[in-house]
Amino acid sequence: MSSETSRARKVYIRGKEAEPGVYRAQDEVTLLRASLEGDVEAWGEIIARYKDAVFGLCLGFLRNRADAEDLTHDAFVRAYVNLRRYRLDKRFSTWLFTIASNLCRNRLRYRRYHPVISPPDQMEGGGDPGRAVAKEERIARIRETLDRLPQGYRAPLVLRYYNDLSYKEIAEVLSLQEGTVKTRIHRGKLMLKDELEKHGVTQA
Amino acid sequence: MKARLAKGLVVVLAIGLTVAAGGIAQSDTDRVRSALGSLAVKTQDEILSAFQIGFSQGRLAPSEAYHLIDRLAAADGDAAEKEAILLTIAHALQDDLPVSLLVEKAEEGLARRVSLSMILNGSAGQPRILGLKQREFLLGAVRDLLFSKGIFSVPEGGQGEPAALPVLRFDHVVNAISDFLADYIEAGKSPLEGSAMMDELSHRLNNLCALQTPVIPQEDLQLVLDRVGPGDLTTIALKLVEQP
Amino acid sequence: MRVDDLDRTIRETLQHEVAAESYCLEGLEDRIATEVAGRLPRRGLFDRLRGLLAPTRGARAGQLAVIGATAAVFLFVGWFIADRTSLLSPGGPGPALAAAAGADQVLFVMPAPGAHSVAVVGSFNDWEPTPLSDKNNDGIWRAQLSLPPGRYEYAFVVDGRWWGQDPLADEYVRSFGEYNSVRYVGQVGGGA
Repeated sequence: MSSETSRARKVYIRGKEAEPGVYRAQDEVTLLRASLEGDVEAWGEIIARYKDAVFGLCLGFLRNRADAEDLTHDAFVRAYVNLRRYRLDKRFSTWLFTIASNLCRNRLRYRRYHPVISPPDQMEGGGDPGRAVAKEERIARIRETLDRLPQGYRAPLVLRYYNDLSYKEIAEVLSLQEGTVKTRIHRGKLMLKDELEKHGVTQA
Repeated sequence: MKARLAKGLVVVLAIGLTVAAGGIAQSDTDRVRSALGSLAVKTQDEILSAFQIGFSQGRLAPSEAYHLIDRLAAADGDAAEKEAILLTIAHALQDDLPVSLLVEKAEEGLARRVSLSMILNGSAGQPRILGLKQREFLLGAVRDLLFSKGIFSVPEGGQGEPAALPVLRFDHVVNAISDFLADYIEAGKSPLEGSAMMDELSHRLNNLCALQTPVIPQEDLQLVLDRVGPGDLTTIALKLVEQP
Repeated sequence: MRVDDLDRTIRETLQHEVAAESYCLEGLEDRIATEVAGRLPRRGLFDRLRGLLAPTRGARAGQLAVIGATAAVFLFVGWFIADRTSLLSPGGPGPALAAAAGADQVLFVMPAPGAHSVAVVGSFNDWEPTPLSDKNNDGIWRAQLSLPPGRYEYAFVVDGRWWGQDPLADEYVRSFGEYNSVRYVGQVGGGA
């Protein structure tokens, strides 16, 4: 890829200024229509907008960076190739997340998985060192518990607390009833809470 | 060639038997579908798929479904209201709630020849009448209350945890508390009298427990009485009476 | 730990994890562009069928014909069997009211001298009338129903008029502005 084209692609990254040129704050539908015509750069723009969200979903579901990276890649390839199946009346993000979710489910089924997440970077920022350690401790506990949660409970939690989906959207992505989604989230949170309290990590 | 044919026939029979097994359920669904068709509802697919969920969970029997639909079809009234009644039940099923109380009330209303609007929306006058919409709200509110108290439902074969009940047992608890609250409100009693509500609820649950085949087993009764308090009931009852 | 604190902590944790690992997404757009270059999104059913039905694939066409024929046969068989058995099978799973073991005989009694028809409607019969009878013409109408233990709401209908307050009831409740009677069937220690 020439540097010209890759610069043009990075035109509308969340939060950055749009450069004059190829795609200026493009309407998502326009980008999707262009992608359908084979415009790979338009699809690149879609990827830029959604890759963190899809990666976060995969990482949350699979608990493994390498797998999450693979499946994020696969999800975008599959979504592109199947773009004709996407009906523009539904939310694109829901459709994309469903593809990613299904890929994750298959991966969990057919490959033994190791909850290997590389150790976190040192926490940024100063302030009270005691406070920073408590926060790390909480995060570490939650991560451990998430690793051990059954996928049925973990998936709705990730979609709710990372992807910020509504119960209805979560139900669509996971093919569950809304009421079941609520149950799973409640119980998942109870399990997390239990773990935190067990280890005396409750201070906010 | 003959071997291939024979193998083919075995496959046919095997698949045919599978289709037949599905076919038994299929004819119930067809019956419900054709009953819905005679009502000419726009949201037929949504209602049917929600009802099918209910059938598979044991929350709704196909015979109950087409009995209600046929009765609605024969009743006087607006087609849109008939549809709304079925949709309320469908939405409750989609929300993973038990629907037997809703179906019963609808049947009673039709038997009494009450207006469809009354069945659906009730009336805010004196005495207060609750419609299906308010009852659906109650079911959801009671379910959410139980969850917040750590009392959950698990599907068949699911692993039990303390305070996790099999779905149909959980449903009995949700129904008992919702039905009690509905009766209490319709009796015109005050939603602010939390202790009185608790006493009457206890009484009702005890009656359901003290049967040869208890509708609610003792341990479930105890669970509810341990964790649910007068304030909880008042909260739900107040929200209910504030509904439009 | 308060609920909103927990929510915040979960969110924090997930965001933290992504932030730590998302370096691997650098250049993802380019990698995917390379992979899908020259591939248009799938055109759909027609093009794939055209591929299937191309004349060179004679053997495949023969296979399709056999599959189609057997499909037709087993569909017919399935439908045929289903049609027979649907008459025999009960109405699926569900809270069907069965006169099975564990059901109690419940007596419904309504004094209504001069009445032409008396029935009971309730939650045990979908609120459809079950007739009572007055065989000896003494004005007391009776019916005995077999009901599993539980709580039931009901009322009597006398010549089309609803009577909701049965003296033999355990409780009364309001319903649609009128009264219904309530009985608990199968109470331990008597009463039905």
